[in-house]
Amino acid sequence: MRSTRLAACAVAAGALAAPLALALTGTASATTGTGSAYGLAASGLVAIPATPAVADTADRSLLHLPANPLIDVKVLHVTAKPAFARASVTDLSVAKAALTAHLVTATCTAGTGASRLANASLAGHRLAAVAAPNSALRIPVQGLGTASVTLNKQTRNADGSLTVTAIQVTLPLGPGRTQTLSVSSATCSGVREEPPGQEPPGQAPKPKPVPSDLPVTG
Amino acid sequence: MTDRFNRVRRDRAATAHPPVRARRLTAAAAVTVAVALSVTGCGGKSHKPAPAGDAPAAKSIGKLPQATTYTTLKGLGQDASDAMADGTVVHPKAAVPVSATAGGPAVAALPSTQLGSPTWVPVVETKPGWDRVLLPSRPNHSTGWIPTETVGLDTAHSPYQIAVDTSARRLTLTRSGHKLGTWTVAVGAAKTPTPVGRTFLLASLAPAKKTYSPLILPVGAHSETLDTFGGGPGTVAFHGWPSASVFGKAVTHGCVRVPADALKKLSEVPLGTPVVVTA
Repeated sequence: MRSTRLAACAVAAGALAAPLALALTGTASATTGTGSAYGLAASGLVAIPATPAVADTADRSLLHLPANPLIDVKVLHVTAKPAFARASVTDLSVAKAALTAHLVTATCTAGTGASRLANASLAGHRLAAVAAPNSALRIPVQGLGTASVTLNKQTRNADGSLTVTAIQVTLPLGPGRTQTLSVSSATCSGVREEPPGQEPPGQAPKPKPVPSDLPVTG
Repeated sequence: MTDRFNRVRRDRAATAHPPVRARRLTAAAAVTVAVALSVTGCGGKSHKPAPAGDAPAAKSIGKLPQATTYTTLKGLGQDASDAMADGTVVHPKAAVPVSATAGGPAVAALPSTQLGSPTWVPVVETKPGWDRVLLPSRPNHSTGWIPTETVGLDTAHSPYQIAVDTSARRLTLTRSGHKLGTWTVAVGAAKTPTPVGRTFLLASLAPAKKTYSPLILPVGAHSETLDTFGGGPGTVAFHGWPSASVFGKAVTHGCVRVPADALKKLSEVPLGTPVVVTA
């Protein structure tokens, strides 16, 4: 484990990561392809390199970001293996942009990407939980100007791999100056079958009417 | 289910005020609390929810009030949002304990079926190991946390959303954000309004006597003004109506009467699908 790098509550993070790390060992050799992921990256006034970042077969959790004046999160979790990558960020808060999200997840499986947001909003504007790829929004933020937001940003890279970034926000900071923020990004290529338990949820079934009655409120 | 059974259920739930419930808790449940406290001790403000552990609540789950359309549950959180949930729905394969907080002691049990249909409830919040779901019991907007790791829980996604605007008397059905249809419907009258807020499709019933509708689609909400209706618990539902003259009017006891083509479309919508009613 890389727990030596982690601070105070590293034991808790390790406990979260361990079951996933164990799950990886049995399936990694069965497929080909690449996977990499990071939780959060920022450029501009506040620059944060991709944190935490993993590639190949790895799994890492981080409680809280390095101290910075812009972004607060609770847990960042990234995992990668051949042809699979996933990044999730819990309790994201960017006070300046009134951006909050309970959970931001990006998943890339064999060159196909998906992202999901739970309880996400920016400057009072609710962000769709499941957005179409490359959904672009422009949202006015009080005191800053108009923020450019891309949800479920999907880009095809030169090597054929796909990068899906759940939220990318660009904030204006004055003439010619911007702050860019990428939250939950996963990159992968190749072909694989997903191991059980990691499949995105399937579609809920169409109900079968039950021969029964309930006196309802007419 | 007989009416007598329902009444008993309601009574039991209604008497479960905190002092009584505390005495009823088993030693195992007390252990859960102790575990929760020791875990939240780490990191102070991080409030990481306790792992579900081996769910000691499961041993006493049979004694807990059931989260069904017939019961009133106390001590659970209220859903304050009227935004659409993201479509994640879960089905417990066996009854699961329901807690007021992630990691808290179980105060109710969510059975695996509702009105004969499999239980599917929408997830409105998640924490590691726990899902907060909307419940079908009174009071309206009841929510509870269920453990996701120690019990058989099917997770699926419903791309559908149902919105009812009681002022405009319109029902709108969308799938993956695309509008499938908008219909003029009949909603609750002024004295028996259709309750507003977020709920979900609870069951799909084909009554033997198709007096007013071939299909009844109860939701998780209840009339706020009628404790019972026609011998039932005052559950609100979508259903058809023989006469088109009601559509566009506020004339019902709380239900939403919809045209036949709307009912046909709604019959295909998965259980657990979020329903948002606005005034």
